[in-house]
Amino acid sequence: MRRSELVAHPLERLIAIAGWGAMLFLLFPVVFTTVVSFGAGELIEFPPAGWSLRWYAHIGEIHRVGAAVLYSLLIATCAGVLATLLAIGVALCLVRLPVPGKAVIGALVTSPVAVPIVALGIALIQFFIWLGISFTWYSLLIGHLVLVIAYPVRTLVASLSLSNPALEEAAASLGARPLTAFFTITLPQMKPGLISGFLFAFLISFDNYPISIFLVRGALTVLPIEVFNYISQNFDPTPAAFSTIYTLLLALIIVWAERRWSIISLSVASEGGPGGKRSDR
Amino acid sequence: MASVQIDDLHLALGGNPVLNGVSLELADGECVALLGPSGCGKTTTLRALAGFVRGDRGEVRFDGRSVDALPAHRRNVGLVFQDYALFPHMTVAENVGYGLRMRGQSRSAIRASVGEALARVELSGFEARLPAQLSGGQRQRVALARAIVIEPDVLLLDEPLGALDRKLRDGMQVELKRLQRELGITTLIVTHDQEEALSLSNRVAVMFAGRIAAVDSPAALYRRPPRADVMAFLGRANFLLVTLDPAGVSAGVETPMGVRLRAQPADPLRVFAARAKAQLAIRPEHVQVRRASANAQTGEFSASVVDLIYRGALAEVLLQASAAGGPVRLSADLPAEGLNIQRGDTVAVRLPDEHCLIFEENGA
Repeated sequence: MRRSELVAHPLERLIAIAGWGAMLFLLFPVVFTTVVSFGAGELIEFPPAGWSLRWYAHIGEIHRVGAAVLYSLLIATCAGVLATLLAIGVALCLVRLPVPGKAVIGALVTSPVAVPIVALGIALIQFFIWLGISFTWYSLLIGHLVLVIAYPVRTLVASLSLSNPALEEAAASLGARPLTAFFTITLPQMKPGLISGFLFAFLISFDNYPISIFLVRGALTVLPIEVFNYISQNFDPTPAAFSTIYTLLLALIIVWAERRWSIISLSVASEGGPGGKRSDR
Repeated sequence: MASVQIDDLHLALGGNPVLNGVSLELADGECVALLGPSGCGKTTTLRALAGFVRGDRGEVRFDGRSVDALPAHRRNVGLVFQDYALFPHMTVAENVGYGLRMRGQSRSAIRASVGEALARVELSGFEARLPAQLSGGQRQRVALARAIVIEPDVLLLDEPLGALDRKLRDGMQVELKRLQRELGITTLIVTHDQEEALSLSNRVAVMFAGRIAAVDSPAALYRRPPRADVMAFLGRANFLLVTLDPAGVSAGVETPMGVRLRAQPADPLRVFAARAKAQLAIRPEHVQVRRASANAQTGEFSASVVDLIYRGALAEVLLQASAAGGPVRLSADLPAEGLNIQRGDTVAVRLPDEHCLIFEENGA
């Protein structure tokens, strides 16, 4: 007993140090970008020699930033809503129905890293060419949908697994038809999963560069592409100012959603995969 | 309100037979407890009544009409789930009013009925609470109110007291009984707790392996169980292997301890062969024990006290008697107060004839 305590102590310390180190490492780019964005100089410098807010006023100078924001919002909102709606069906299948091979389906659908993004982008391009679909906002939307659907499936599977199937039976015994029971009982149980699933899907889509760069043509553009284009031609802190605002907004949304619906714990709870916890009767 | 007939219900789930011909009738307004060990099919029987599963063979009838074709939401059955299954996103009033809402009643009618149902379960004033803000006992009452407010033809209770602690159980037991009597709803209580079954119901049906083994009033079933396994499941019992008299069972049985008893067969119609082996059973509370004295009486045999287990009002005395074919163990329940025997004592034991029952050797 005493021996193991003696051994454990320095190890725990080491783990704590490693943990803090990793956290700082992860936080550093955010801190760096934020500090840089307030610099007064023409070029990115760290730490800045002088302080100014002028790069925030300069965000509008990013080429086609208005159109890019609108397109990004449109694509991300549509991708988020569609992915969440589709995910309701997928999650219901995975959690409640005796689908053969559902472990495999679940693993595939819930794992966005199962297919490398570059491969996915190439596949999408060829798919659209083969179908003869033009490269416009809805083909980009389809691409984003493929990318983001994993997130709402995950959160919905989690919230469905946590909800008690006896609730629907209780509703039925009280006279609710299956569809009424679904809308009055099942769907409200899925609410945290719906909200967080939509949020994740929206944010992943809004943020996405690699899929977009494959699928964006002509007048269509999205925010990450324009920001990247700006960076490749300029070396002033405007993108840093943009990033700072973006990070702040994101953090606010996530904190608010976590407080209200504990979305982070939900996405962690789904790590076990669909059908992992609940045994079917 | 309705009478219920379950007629030769067979059901297999995932290839495993769960119900092997369940037949049970509940008269209008009657309260029957379905008692059995876990896995005996009692919950499946309840689910078949509720309409969640359908028998492969056999029929369920309410008031003589088959309900097999009716889905759960059209059966008008009140159901209290073991874990209550309250809707967590709805208040107490919304939970209780849900069934009335599904029946298309007006808001004001719902409010009135909900208030009445909550008053019945003594939860007036809790309308706006969420299930998470209630104690276990309160949740149980809400579940009950939600099930009775729809004025069901049949009320089904799945292990109604299982999730409550000892003290709450006793209180709820009294209240459930009162409610059932007041409302007069035909009620089926599914439970594995024999005390719950005996205390709550007009009749008890004991179920083993997908079949009803015995049905009778609680007192009759406890005192004169028709089968050894029913006796063993309903309370505790001592079993002894005995030999029947050549003149037949009425002439007496020979116990391994050497005493002869004139026990009665549990099933009066049962014919035993002369000299056949049989099982003699007696409840611990009927075993008579006294301190051994020099003047042993006929019908008594001596045993040593192996252990004493204090159970409050009673003490369970574990006895060991020497017998032909190895020592025999018996347990006796004696009033704990004034108990003057100790572990290691030698005592005189009597098994009163009127409390001894004879069963077939194989246990049935």
